[in-house]
Amino acid sequence: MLRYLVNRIASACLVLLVVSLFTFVLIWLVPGDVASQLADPGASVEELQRIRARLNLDQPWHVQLLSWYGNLLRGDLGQSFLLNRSVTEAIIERIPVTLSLTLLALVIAVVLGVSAGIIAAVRHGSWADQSIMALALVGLSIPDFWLGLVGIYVFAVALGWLPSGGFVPLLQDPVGWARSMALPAFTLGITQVGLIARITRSSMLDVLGQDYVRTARAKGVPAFKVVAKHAFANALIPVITVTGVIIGVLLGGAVVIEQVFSLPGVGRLIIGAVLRRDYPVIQGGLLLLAFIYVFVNIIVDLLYAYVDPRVRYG
Amino acid sequence: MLKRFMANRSFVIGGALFVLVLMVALLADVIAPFDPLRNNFRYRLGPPNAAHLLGTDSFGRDVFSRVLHGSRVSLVIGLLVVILTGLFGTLIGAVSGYVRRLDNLIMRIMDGFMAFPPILLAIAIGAVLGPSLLNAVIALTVAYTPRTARIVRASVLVVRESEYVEAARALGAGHIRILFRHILLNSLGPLLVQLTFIFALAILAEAVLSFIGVGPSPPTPTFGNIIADGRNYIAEAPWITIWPGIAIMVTVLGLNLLGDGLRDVLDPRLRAEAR
Amino acid sequence: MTTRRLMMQATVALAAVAAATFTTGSAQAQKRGGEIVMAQQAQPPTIDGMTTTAQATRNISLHIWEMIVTRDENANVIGDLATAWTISPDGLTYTFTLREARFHNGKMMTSADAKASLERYAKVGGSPFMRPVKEMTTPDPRTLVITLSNPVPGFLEQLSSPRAPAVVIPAEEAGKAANQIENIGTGPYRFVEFRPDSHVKLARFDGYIQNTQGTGRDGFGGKKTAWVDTITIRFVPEGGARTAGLQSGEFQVLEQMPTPTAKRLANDRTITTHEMMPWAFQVFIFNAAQAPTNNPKVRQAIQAAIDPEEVMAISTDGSYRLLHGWQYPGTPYFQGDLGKEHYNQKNAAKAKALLAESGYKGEELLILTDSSFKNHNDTAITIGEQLKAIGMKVNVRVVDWPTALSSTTKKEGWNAWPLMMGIEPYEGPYNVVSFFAGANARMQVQDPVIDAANQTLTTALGLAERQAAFGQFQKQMMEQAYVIKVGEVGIFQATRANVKGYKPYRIPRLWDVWVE
Repeated sequence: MLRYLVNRIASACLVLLVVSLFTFVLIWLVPGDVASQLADPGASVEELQRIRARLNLDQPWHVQLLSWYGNLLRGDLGQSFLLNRSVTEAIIERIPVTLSLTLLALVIAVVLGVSAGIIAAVRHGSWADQSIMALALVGLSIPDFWLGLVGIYVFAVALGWLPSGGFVPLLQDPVGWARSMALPAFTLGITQVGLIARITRSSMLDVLGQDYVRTARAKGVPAFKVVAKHAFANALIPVITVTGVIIGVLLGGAVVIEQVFSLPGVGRLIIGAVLRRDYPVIQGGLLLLAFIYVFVNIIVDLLYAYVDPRVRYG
Repeated sequence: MLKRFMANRSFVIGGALFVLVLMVALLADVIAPFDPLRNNFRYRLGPPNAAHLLGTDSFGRDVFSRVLHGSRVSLVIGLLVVILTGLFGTLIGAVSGYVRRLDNLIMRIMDGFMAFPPILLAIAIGAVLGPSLLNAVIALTVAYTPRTARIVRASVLVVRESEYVEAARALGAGHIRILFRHILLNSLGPLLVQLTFIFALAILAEAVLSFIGVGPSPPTPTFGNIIADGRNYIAEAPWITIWPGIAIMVTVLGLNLLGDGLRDVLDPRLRAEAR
Repeated sequence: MTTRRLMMQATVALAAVAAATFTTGSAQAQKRGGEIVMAQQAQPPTIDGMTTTAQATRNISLHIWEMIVTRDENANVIGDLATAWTISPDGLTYTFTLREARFHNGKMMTSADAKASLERYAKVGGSPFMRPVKEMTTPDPRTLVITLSNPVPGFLEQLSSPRAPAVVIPAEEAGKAANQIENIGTGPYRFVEFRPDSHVKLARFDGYIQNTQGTGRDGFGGKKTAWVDTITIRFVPEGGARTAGLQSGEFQVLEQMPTPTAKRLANDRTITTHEMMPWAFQVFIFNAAQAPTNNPKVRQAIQAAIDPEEVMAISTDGSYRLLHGWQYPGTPYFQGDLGKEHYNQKNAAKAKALLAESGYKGEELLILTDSSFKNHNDTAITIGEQLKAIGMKVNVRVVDWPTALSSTTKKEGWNAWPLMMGIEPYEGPYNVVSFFAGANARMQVQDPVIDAANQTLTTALGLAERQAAFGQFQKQMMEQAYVIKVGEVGIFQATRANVKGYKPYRIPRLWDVWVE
């Protein structure tokens, strides 16, 4: 188990090295530079050159790469060109937004998806099952950002119930926070409900067909208890696996949803940095996302081993 | 085989939807009442009426005609991504699964690419290359190839140890021959299922890329571009935003149903989690 | 239907009259206190006002800091921290008399602070106007003397420009690099906090010393009064979110409201929309170094083909006016009808004839534009379609704004580029002409006539001579069709109806504004 973990972490570090090299190459291929972003539309060429020199962008690329890795080893992701703070600070400021969004969406997706999946499995073959499965597939086919725009149109423009964007910190105003997160989290979560519902249903159906469940039923254990006690725990395993995948999808989706609802999260930080050539933020932000993604998957694997005693890592 | 396909409800409905979208895309020139690029500043943001079934956008262009032509561009992108992803994914997956010495290295590089949410990877590559149809295809291919490679590698690993490959090897067949004749042919089912889902994902992702501004350049009508045009006028002219989204939904739903049907028929053991 | 609409219009008109009467009647009813939240699209790259030409920064920095000289309501030069100045007859020595002012840290401002600030500007400032400065002296705490090495007639225009405003900071801060200063100024509001991707917060500076020379708000100067307690500037990139926030009362002021929204909400009584016309020039710049636009006949053909009304109506959502000149009417360098015959021709036959004459054989015209500014994007697309109609092969390439800006400084890789010129025409003639003059001329070729005009404009001491030089510039631009001025763009600013005293301007001003 420990050896497995060490192996996984070592290979995760390798993956992160690949990622950081990749982002560095990617960034240096980009035409255009940060100087033009600091200046006005009509900025003169000299003006741009002065800004470039001020930010040390005139140094050769290998000097910049080496100094970046040097700083990374000391836990320093560097200084943003534009935000007047370190990359670490910038990310820490925005993490709560992205985490709120991703976790809320995950909760919505799991709660709705698992319940729908159980209902469909228990009422296998009924109209409820069929309509849930049809809806699940429709949900998988909806572009999330478009659903967000439609949500803005219905709930913000037409009905005026919810704000169409912006973020309110939880500690500052819990009600405002809930209102500001409602549309984005539902938009993001709802597109994943279908996937979870489908997985839950099929693994529940598997389990419900197993001998021990049939035995329990035959012994007169109430249907609710059968589902809750015997079937559900075992049906959970594939759901956990897919949850790992979904966290990745949600992180990717959050990037776009933050854009639609103008939420100040990590995703918008990165997209803004890409568009404004804020190199240190792009590198740090992508590395962080890769880090989260890789380690979520390690945790999911461990959880898997915990829930399913048959899985042992040698 | 055909009978089994025709008996599968998902396959039939999905196939019908997809053929419908395909026909619309192919016949866009004939059906569309207007040139999708023709401006008319005297009827900007016009609500739907008899002439403009889905209204007009901020350039006064006919939204119905743009959605019809948009389906064509979006399908071309999806199809190119499917072909390229299939090609590269198969190549990489087959080499990785068959040549043990390279397996670890290739899979670590693939893991590196898969350490980003694919959409973010595509956005980053799209932003670097600049917006164009070809670049969107490249970005999406890079984003989805690792997944295809994994699927192919997994089935190669299973098939290569199977008895008939052993038999072929014993009969003195060459590596290339074994790889193509025996192993890949047997991986075709899961690959086809996977590629159908990638088609669906590519259509969704193209819309996101265009929406963020790293897809094919406007005024090219694509589903994402039309939605991006509409987002600034969501209160004044919601029809610009709503219809292309529904078109995406129908297209992707068709592909998802088709993929489900294919999977049920070709490989009943696989379940939804294979996606 | 008709009667109902008439009645509605009558009601609206009555309401407007009532509102007008009410406002005049209660002109003295300014109220201290309350807060204003202003939403703007972009996040400022920095708060350090003098280091950047970004508008997102100007919106904020001009509340915190003040300038030695600034611009009045009509963009003319007026004093702000300076109460008076004299210029020596040889045009070399400027002597400024400064007024009393207090920094937010309590320190009184002296000429030493002004001098140190300008010295910092020479190092990190966003405009190069300090180059001709030979030396600066401070004979006493109220006097600043600036000596130039050669006469620069436009020096005061540059010193007073809000583009990258030459603001006065405490001398103790002046040694610090860009972005590193404490945000301490003499303005009516003091800096509280900057939360990236969220907001900047300012609070009323109760120790503010007003400019007693002025009678009230005047451009960025005059006698400023801070009424509200705090100002929060929120960064909200989504237009819909800004509008919804204003409607719900979450925001009180929008730096800019999309024009279609402003038109839709024109009858909403909880909101007041303010049109700011003109806001900018919409121009279409050619690369005269790259085929096919290196051929003047091709450029003239495009000039003849363009329908500016269609371009402006689409790209501005209807807030525009059609004017050909390179300065605004009513300003000293406006040239009347000079060159008007080249504007708004809509002559496809002439365009095709010119194209044939030019030897154009279907070479691709590459229009480079960006997705960040809707006006640019829409102008490129609309002109592109108009040029396809006269038989040109057009490729519109949309890139992001940094790429567009840096690509168009090169001599290859583009043929045409739409740009909104906002601040340059507001500043006057100097930066408009210099944009197209010299080795870095944006059309990528140096034109002797334009360079000569620029030389005269920047050295001649007589106004008439400079005006004539500007005329030569305008004439040459149009005859050679280096750049097509397509029209003038307006924008809308918007406030909640309970925000009183607001007057739209280039940069939103939240002093002399109160909440009822």
